[in-house]
Amino acid sequence: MAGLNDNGQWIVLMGFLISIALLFLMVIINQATLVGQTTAEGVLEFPKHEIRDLRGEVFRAGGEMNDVLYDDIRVISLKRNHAIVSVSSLKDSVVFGDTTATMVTIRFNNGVCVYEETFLV
Amino acid sequence: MVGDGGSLYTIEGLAAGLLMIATAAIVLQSVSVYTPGDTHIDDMLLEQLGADALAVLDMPVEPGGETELEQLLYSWDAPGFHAAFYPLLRERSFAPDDPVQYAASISYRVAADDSVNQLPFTESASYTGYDPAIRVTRWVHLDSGHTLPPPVPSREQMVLLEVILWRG
Repeated sequence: MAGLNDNGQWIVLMGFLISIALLFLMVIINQATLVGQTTAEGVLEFPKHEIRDLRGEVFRAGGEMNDVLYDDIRVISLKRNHAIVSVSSLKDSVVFGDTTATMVTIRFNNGVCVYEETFLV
Repeated sequence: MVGDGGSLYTIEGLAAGLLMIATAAIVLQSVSVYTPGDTHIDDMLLEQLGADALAVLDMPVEPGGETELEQLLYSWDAPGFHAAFYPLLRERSFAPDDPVQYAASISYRVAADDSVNQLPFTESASYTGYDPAIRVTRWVHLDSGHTLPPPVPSREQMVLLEVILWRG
């Protein structure tokens, strides 16, 4: 290659570097959209409102709940909210001296989130 | 003649400057690109809004008493529900109304075969199925003697109030 002018090599090399840098930026931007989607989907799928509503309703009704109402919750949850819900209560099962309390257990499972709680009313 | 060797460098500098400005503009614009992930964020906000509005209606009107939502459903008061629920969805601070629409229905259990049926309650606009909608639900405890229309059994029961929300 003696006598050949090779000044153009630098331009070609810089072109390569810039194109690789652009490719790198493109990959990062591509990933950024996926991150936003999975985060939002995760929040949307998490049954926060369902559990809080169910818990509040059972808690507020207290010992007045009966098996027919528990069946309503179980069947409607399965059909409409796609969640397996079990609410059960043991009336006056806990005795403190001369007062008694009803023990209520809530179980919730919609495949994404499993939740269980036992409390006294 | 004056040497014009520097002109080439000047043009190159201008071209490089334009290239950098264009790159900066593209990068700044890409911050607000509306991606599929962003639609989920909007849905998330709408879900929170709907759940909050239903939660507000589901507060007992007096300690240990019934909630407004229970009273409205007990008497099957569709105009009353609309008057209470719709402003909660649409009102914003220092801005025109948020164009949120809703359609509400009730799910109830038929004890004979454990099937679940739905009954339309009320709506602010008819849902066409075109706009992306989200769904929020709320349990309502109905005492016996309620005035829901006949297919719904008249016993004391839990029904699920289902509301779909969309902007349109």
